[in-house]
Amino acid sequence: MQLFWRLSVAVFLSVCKGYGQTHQGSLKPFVSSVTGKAFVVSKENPDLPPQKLDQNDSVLVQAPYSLVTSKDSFLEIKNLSPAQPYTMRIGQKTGVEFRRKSNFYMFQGSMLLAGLGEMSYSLESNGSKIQLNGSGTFIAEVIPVGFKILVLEGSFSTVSSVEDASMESGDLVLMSGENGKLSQKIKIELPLLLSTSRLVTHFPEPLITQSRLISAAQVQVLRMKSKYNAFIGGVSEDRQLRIWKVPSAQKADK
Amino acid sequence: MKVFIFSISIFSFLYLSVSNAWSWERKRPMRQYDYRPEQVDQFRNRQQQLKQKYSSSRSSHEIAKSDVGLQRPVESKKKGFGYQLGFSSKIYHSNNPLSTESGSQKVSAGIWENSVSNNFLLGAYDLRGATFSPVIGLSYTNFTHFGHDLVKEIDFGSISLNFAGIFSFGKGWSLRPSLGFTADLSMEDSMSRQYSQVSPGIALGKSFSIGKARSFLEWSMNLAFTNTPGQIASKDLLDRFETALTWGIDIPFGDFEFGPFLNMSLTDYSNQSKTDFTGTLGLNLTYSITDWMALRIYSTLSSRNSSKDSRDFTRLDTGAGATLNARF
Repeated sequence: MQLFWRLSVAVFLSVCKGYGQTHQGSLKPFVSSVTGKAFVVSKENPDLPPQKLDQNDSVLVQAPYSLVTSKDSFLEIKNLSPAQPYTMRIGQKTGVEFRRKSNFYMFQGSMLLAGLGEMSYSLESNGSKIQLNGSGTFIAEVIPVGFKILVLEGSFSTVSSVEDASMESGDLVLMSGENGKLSQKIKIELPLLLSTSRLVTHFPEPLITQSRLISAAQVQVLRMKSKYNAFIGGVSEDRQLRIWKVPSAQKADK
Repeated sequence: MKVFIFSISIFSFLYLSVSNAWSWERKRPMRQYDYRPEQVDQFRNRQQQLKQKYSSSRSSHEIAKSDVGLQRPVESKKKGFGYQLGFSSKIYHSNNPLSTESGSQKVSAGIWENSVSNNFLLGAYDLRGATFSPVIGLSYTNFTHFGHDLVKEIDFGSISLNFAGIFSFGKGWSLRPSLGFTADLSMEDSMSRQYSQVSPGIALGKSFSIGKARSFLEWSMNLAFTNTPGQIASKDLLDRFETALTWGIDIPFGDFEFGPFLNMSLTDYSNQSKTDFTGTLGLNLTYSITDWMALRIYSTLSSRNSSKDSRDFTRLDTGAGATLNARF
């Protein structure tokens, strides 16, 4: 009888230990999709060679570390941490450093962050630093003066030392300077953005916020007054926003 | 004796009144108030109000070098309140405008139908995963008959007020609870009310693309609480439950759009032991002159199969019309 109880306790403890390991393992960000070549680079051990990331790999390196993609490469990382679960998609030729929890330093390129609950992200680049609080999906792109932020759905508020502002679905904002100075908000056509953004379309599985992306786009269409015959490009080195006029053959929406 | 004569008088009065009324009802041409072909037009009007126009994603790919996507500036309303004013005029031939099975009332005639419709979109709301768009529709349609003496008496106007809350989900699904009021007013009798109905309903819809064509499928359930002042037996004889399946497709080619649709409905009458099955097949060819003006030719074949005798009918309407639509 004593042997039975000892065996029962041993089995129970092993199951608990196994569960703990599994659960702990799942908290590490893992690669849910990868196209082309993507690598993880440890900042604490810079002498270690970059580790190539494959599908379903967990990112076991301790923060801070960087995720980098090469040309024609895309990477999707899922973080299932109960505190701040999110999905991150990284575009081509992008470098993102994971610092502390939801604190990212972008060297170059573009990334998409999607979360269902309230989140707090800290974004930093060579040109700017900003904190975003809220719930939804947004794209951040590194530009010479800082960031270009596009909110695809949901709403975020920016917290910076200069000014606080709120952003809603369809808003494009440029952030510049170390203090995170915000530009004027510009509304962007969401259905067109969603159908042309490779950060949305170039992955096999839809985002966890896919239904919210669609409803945000539908609402914008119903609220639409007019479309401008122009497209927004990048930002030049002399801090000028490039706007491309649509050729006359493609006009007629306004 | 006095009692006997009094009884005979009363009986005679009642007999004459009822027989006169009965013969008047039988002689006077009567429409089928519960056959309402305008429902598909109202459905298309609502769809027009919620129609979504997207920019072509194929344009200007050369400026989309980054993975972010094309960023086209737009101007939006704060809540999305909108208004649509529509005018439609159509003239058509019907082989059975009274929708009767046979007999002297089955005649061919022409119908000139003019309607004014107002649709108020009371905003568009993001429920994060679904959108909600309340729409109020108010319309008046005038039916003028010509070409046969029998049908000239049935000219009428129909006023309709409809409130619908449209929930749209991903992948083209939609849910539409609605409450409608319709009243038919006689043109020959000082605009007196011939028929009215209050109809709460709910519809589940799915729209999908097939190449460039846009198709829709809708399953609806409606209750109709009716009032027909001219009915002697019971004013609410046409109270009914109706479930219908509507399928349609809009196939664009150039400035034209071909839009066939099929509607099948099963109707159960609560105040009479009657169940009807009605099928409607429609073919529309629309030519858009501008964004707000269109011409169309169309043909609609309807057939009802009723469990009650003498209530079946087949009807073919063929005609042409013009529509003007302005959205604000």
